[in-house]
Amino acid sequence: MLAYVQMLESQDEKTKFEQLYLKYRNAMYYAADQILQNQQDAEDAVQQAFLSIIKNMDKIHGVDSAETYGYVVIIAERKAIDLIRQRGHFSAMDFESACFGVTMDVPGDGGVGDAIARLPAQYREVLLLRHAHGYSTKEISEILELSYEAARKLLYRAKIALKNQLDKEGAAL
Amino acid sequence: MNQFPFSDNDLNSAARAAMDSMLRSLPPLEEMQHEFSPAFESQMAKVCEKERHRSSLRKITRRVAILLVTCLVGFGGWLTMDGDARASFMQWVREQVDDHVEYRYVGKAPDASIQDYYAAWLPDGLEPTEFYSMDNMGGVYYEHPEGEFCTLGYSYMDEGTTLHVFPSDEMQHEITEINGMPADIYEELGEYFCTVVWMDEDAGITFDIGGNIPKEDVIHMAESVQQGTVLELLPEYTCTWLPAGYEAAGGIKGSHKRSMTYLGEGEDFVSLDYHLLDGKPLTNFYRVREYTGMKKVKIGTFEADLYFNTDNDQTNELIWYNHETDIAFHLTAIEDENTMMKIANGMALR
Repeated sequence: MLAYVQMLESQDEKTKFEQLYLKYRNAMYYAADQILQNQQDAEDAVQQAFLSIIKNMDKIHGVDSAETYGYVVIIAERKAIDLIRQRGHFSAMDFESACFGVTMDVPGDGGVGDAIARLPAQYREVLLLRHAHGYSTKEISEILELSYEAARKLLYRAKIALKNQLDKEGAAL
Repeated sequence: MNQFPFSDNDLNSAARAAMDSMLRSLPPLEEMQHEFSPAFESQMAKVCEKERHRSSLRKITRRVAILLVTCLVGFGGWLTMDGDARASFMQWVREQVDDHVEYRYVGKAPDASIQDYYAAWLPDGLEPTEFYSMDNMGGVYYEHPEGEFCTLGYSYMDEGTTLHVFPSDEMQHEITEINGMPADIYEELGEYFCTVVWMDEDAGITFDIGGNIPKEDVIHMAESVQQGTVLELLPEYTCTWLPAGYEAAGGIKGSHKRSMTYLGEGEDFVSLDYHLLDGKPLTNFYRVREYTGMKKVKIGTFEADLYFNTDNDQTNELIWYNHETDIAFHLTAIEDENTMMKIANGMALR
């Protein structure tokens, strides 16, 4: 079977970004509003999230997948938390370690999955990006707008936090 | 020794379970409805519009890349035996990746734009019908009245870019040379379809020719490739007037289409592109989707359609056809009607 790819694409075709925008903007708002509890702020966070998504469009492979849904929710959550941090007078470390982000149930495995779900948002996010989405440290640094070294340290700290969480829960692996 | 009481495999499955749980904790998508503020909608419309233009540019770029390099070729047993070929100085690498073959490069492309190339020898009846060129790649499309076709592509070997060959089932691969340069021939057995990829390592350029023509003709064409422009370029129009702060940000030149984008401060941009219609209807090229209203205006002596949006943050679009040159023009900008008209009326041949 041999064929050259047809070169002209439909003028009516929505860009992948527009499809993402139309499909997930309400869910992203929902996630951001859970954290910010303010319409204006939540919309600001959603807008910031979409600007971040644009910069990393190459990391999104399909509009309708659970991975993509999870990704956009994580980004909306991150932007909402960033907004609080930027507007408040918090020590970044103290604030992040006390911020749990969106309300979520635990998977119920009585082990690592539950412990991940109970981590502060910044650790959960980076572990999901790495281990549920499979992004490399470099990709995570681009997604979270961190230096490579900062992303590497964040991943390490997330694993330490996960180990501590497991110890705390006395979870069996 | 792992300092953590969990392996990466543990983390992978646990993280996927946690992500599923996070998503299940949200209401169903259709139940999460929020009426966004007009300010949000307006800002996002602007973001979408800009992304649409970026996407168009990427599609055009990809189109050129496809014109240059993409063909569906056979997938021979050679791949499993020879999945990794490396040039002597690691300038390029050929690898089998999943279901396709990738050529990747080491080192950056030169700053200077790539020269134009064409095949000086063509099989009887094959004629060049379209040509594109950008900073680092170019291509020529050839057609025969009876349906044969062929492409010539060329691009700088540039780290970060790849050339993909997508295989089908019955392909014979042959490592050879074109004018003393390393080359791969991919030939479909049982029917005419052949692609040759070769590397001009001195110039740092990858070439490819492929089409539904015999292998001997493809090789003959490849051996005849030389610098030069095979088709006349569309005349180059430029904006002689733009609002303050805009700077040219690149474009495409070609025999049937040219484009140029100018970027201003913040989200502002002006995009100009124009097509040679060549007997095709204007609607094949331009279709405006979102606008508040349309009005007829004049650009010089030509009738034009101005599609406008009352929201100042959204783009206005101006489309007109010059029947003397058979060229249709399309100007898009986040500028008001007067500014759009001034930009359009200021367009002139370079």
